[in-house]
Amino acid sequence: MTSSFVALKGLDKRYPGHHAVRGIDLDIAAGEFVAIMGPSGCGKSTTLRLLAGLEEPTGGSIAIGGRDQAGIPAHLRDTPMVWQSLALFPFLSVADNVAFPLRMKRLGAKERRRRALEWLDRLGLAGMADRDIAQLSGGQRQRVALARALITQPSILLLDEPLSALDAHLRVRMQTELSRLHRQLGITFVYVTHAQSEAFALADRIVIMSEGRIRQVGRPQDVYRAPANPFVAEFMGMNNLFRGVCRGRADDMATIETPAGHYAVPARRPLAVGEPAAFVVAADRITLARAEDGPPSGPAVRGTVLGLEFVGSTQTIFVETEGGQEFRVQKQQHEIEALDLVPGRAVHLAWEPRHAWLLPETE
Amino acid sequence: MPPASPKPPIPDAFRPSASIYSGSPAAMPVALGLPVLAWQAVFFLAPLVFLVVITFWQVRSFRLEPAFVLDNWTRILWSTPFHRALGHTLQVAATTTVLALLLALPLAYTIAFRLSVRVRDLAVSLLAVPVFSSYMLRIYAWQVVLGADGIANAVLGAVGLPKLQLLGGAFSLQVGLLTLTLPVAVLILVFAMVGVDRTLIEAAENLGCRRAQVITRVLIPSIRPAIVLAGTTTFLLAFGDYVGPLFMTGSKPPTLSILLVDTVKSGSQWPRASVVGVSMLAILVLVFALGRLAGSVRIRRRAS
Repeated sequence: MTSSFVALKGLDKRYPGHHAVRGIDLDIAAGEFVAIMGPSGCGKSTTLRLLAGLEEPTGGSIAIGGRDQAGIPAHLRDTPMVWQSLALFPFLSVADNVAFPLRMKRLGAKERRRRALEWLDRLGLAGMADRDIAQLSGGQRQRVALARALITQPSILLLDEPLSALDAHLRVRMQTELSRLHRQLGITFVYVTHAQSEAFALADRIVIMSEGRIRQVGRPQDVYRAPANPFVAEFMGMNNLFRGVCRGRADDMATIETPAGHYAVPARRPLAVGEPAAFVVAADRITLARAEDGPPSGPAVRGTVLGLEFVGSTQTIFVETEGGQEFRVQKQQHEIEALDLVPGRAVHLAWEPRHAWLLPETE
Repeated sequence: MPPASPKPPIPDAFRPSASIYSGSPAAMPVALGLPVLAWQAVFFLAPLVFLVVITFWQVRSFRLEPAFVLDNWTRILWSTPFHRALGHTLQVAATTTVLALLLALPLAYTIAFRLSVRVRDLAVSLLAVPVFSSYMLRIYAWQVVLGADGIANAVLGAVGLPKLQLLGGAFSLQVGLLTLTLPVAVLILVFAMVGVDRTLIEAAENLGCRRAQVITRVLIPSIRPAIVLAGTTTFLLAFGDYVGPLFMTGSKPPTLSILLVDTVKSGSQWPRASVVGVSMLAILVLVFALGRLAGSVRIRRRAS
């Protein structure tokens, strides 16, 4: 990347008895919206805190805007952060919360007030300036936290699971708000979340971390359709993973032997016969058929329906394969109505060979 | 319980039970609160009422007689010794309050924010022990330290400095009163500071606040009610203390509590002593009310 605005090089953070971040490299372009995802304790929040200077790295370096951040204390960094708890000051009014960073910059009272009102207005909080924080709703507090972080016109905004305390309806509205702000301001957003829906809806690029390491970086659709390894495939949730050994190569297809059977998979990377291999089939690429209608042509597995889950018009069907693995299938409601799927029903899961994705890494 | 009910029935444990509440759920808090109310009535309210009643009684030939005269009130409230003692006591208690807060704030900050959790717990228990140990004993210990031939003067003599008159003045009185009040003030502030949300402090730093500014702009505003509580508690303890003034200054000049005891001793003047006592209580109630007001009213600096 030629113009990286944020550059992490070998960034490392060790606590006594816990290695939180294990030498990660990451470049973020100016104006990019990057989401860092991963399970609890994967090091995503620590990475954000290192960026803000709230933690000292034990190795590696951070550069923001071409400037090495080593030794720059948190209060001089201008890397405002929005906390999950919002961290609004309960003893200050709404306007004074928003103007707090300007007060630290020793701006005059009039100018502080003017700019605070301007930001409150911009975020739809006109007329709330002199209220107490306790008088605001969850969504309004969220906006106050955003206004407070953005009032100094920073070139980067850090967000640590900012929406996880909101209810589902409000979360979607705030996502739209964040998207709009990001487009209007054109600054870099680094967004830590464990919620896939937020990351997919908002981010230009997604960084997936586990155990202090980056496991994959890519556009949302790449991470979803082309996971780099079994961890990412399973973390995305809607992938069905097969592990096995390569038993043959023909043209650009490889035959993988798995406990469920032999499958032909497009060989998108060099793969030797006898080498361990893993591939995934996305939940929405699988077709379902009742077992009594006979086996379908092409690759398939047999299984039993465990249960169903509605998400809007989409149904997730959980199937236990004969090998004892749990598979997920995602279908539109109308596609499966005729199948009369009830728990216990025997089904065939089939897919087109081209939809099987050979994972670049097996571990 | 019907065997095939579509909705699970409410378990019996969650149903209001007639046997416990005797019909009304409001009966429960009353039943639990009654012993406390009774205790307060017998051991606090009744003596208080009796104290007020006594202020209108008379003493004739060293004997207390029920009466209704205002003579005790006018004689005490318009007397110079009472005015002097009141002024002196207010000034001493205010000084103790200011000193205790000035010493307790940095001490509590160190304990709450600079020590590891284990050392912090140790410091808290070391502070709690004196609160529950004999105050008299600690005052005697100070006499050994501050006396004319005490440890302090021995140390001064060893480095070739002249002896100091440490005992019997405003200095030793404050030492005594701080012995009583400082541990309480520090404990109140430590508990308040430990309870402050750490992300508020990080957020302040993140938004451009230096360490020192974090204390004045975020920490102190966050614990304002606790500072008021520590201040009023210190004031109340210092204002009503008898042992400190008695042993550290030899009762000169007298505080209100010294005056109260002296009034009792001189001719069994229980009614006049009660006037002093009721006046002291009234002042304490006033201070406490002012403290509550200061703790709840939001003093907000507006940006405009």
